[in-house]
Amino acid sequence: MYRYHRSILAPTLAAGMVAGWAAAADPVVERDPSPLVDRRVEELAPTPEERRFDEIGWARDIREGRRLSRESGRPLFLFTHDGRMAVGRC
Amino acid sequence: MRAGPLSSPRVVELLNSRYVPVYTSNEDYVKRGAVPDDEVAEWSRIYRASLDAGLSTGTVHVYIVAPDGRPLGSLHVAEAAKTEKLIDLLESAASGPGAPTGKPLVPPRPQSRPASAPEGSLVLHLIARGKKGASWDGIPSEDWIILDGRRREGLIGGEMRPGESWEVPRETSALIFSRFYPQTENNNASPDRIDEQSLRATVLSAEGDRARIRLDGALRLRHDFYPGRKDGREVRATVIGYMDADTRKRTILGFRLVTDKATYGPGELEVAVSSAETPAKTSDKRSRI
Repeated sequence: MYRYHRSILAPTLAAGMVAGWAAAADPVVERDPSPLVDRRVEELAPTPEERRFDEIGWARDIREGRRLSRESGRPLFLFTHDGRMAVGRC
Repeated sequence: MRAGPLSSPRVVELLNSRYVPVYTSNEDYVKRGAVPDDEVAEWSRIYRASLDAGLSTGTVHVYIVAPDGRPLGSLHVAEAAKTEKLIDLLESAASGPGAPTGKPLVPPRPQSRPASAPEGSLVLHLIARGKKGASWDGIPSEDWIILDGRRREGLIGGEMRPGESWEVPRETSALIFSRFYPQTENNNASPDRIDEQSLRATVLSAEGDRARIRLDGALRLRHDFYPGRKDGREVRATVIGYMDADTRKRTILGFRLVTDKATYGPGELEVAVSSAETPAKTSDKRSRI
């Protein structure tokens, strides 16, 4: 059974690193952090609502989009943007 | 847009059933050679044709283009980000009895994907979430970090005996830490922004040809919210994680790292990094330090 403190970092972090931060860490309770780490990884993963963008059938690029538009008779929807919308870096 | 209208079920339905949806990143179209010339030419043609038609134009913009290439409508992002405005445009530009509808012409698939990686690489998936004013959007940021075979091997030090400890090579941890920032308009991920960093590995257990290695570290990273606009913001974080290793092959099988405490400017930050492969399960009976 693992028990967690609010902070589980070892207090032996490189001396002087991030002053006031590492020093504030509580003592280590358990040495194997995998249960906590696995739980945090799951908690931070994108939710289905945040992945709704993936439910859209995006064409690869404008050329493919224009070809499909001509063939299907559907209009092209083009969104031009700065950054990388697909990874939330925009 | 992604957190707003492009997550609206009605917009998703309209785009899938009545349109051919495409999104483009401006960086790719202004940087020579990033995409083929004819792709850039069509991108420019749509912009100019919309301008000539008296429609709104811009670099962060929605354009609707008829099957014959004529511009049918456009919206500046500030307007398009209002879900009802975008729905109005989508409904009006592809309506009428003859408007073709149906299933998506391209099968939907995850848009966040790693680039192809050389054999032997370790692919890491990073999720960053800003909280309490640290970011401007509800969508988490993601990165795919590829550690090539050399860097993957470099994660391992010593003889892998319980209790052994080493510092992960700075160049490798910098590749990971340089992505520790929330969604901001500035996406400069240069390792040069790192002022302080540490990532220490300690072997917790070893049994047969498997070992579990604990990771502890800390980071201080300069990251302005807007590109080219210095605001003094920085990321301060302490991190914890673990790796599973094959001691015989001396290779890392799984890697996971999360923030313990992290701030970005006045807000908070949470980051998780996980190898694309599932970390190997180790026995409950493994040895302890």
